[in-house]
Amino acid sequence: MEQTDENIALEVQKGHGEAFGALVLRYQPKLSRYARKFLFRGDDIEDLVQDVFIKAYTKIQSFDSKQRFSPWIYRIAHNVFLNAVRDNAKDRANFSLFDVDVLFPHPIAKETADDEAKRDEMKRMLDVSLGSLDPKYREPLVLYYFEDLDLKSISQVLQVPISTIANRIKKGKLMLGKIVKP
Amino acid sequence: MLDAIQSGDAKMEPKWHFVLETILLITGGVLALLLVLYLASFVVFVLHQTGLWYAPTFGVAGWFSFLRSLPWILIILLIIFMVILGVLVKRYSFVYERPAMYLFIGIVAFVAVGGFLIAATPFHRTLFDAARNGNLPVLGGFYRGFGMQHFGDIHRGSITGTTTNGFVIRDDGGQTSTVLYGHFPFSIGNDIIIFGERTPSGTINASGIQQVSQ
Repeated sequence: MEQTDENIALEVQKGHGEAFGALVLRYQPKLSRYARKFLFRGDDIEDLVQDVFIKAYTKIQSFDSKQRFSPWIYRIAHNVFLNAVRDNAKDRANFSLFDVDVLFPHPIAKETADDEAKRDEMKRMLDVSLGSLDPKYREPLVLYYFEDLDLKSISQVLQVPISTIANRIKKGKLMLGKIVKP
Repeated sequence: MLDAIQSGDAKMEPKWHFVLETILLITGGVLALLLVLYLASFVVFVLHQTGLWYAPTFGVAGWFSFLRSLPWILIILLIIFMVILGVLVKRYSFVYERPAMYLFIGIVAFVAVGGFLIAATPFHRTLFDAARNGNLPVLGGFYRGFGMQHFGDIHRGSITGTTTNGFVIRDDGGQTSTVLYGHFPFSIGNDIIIFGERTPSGTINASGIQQVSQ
């Protein structure tokens, strides 16, 4: 039976550093895809992902193995990628330190089977026009549709209210619809 | 990556480092919480003690006087510590998963309720009395400075006698003042708040008087 991420992380915490390799194998493709789609640049993606793994290994003792591993490592990745954005003056202009939409509650629509059926179509749309979206909407869409994280996990990654995440995904989809069908 | 681990270039930070960080954060949070409660209750105590609390009952002019004379330094300090408290608790999922407005309302409600509850206990009164008698070493000046301050148009005191066109009051510091007021519907010993300017001779021209509980 395949070991869970959390069990592997526990092994690493106990001092079996080589077990971390299994986590690298599992998450390298995911984090590379997340970086490519979120940052929209190709040159230093592998270096950034490497940086994520080094940070994850360094801080592995802070991981609570009773929690899920994926939001934890995506959170580290989010911080590393955000720092990369802040280092780049051109990208920095598209990011704000504080968004008003985290202040107020937003109604959350229930996820339905119909939504699930539209996922592939949405992924195709995202692939074509993700670069036209504001990073604030792009990141939750990438985490939701490509990384298959649920709203609560995305909230843990971005440390933003769940209802705000749902609202950004909804708005991002509407913007995407306008871009694809002008 | 694995080479970096095996060669020792990538080193795991020890668990105690994170435990210590958590302990420091919790300690900081508790200290911020206690400071916020202390400051909020002290502000309520000072407002009651100086009589400023009752200023709005004297109408628009009373409101102006209230806003002008609020202990703004304490209120700004209170806001700073509330922000620090908010930043410290924001890292926990039960906080960031909900809209920031809830955190804001939660902290304000907690501070308001906690502040009023503590102000209703003898805590600040005991410290203030000790400060007034010179028996409070560190915080004495702080309590005397805020609790015994006088304003231009709000005066608190106890009625000690009557005059032909008013009465005499004595404040908490033992200072007596003559009050000019058309009629006298009070009794000797009543604790009152007077709204009115003090003349250069020290007499208070009262435009409104409110009786308060002792």
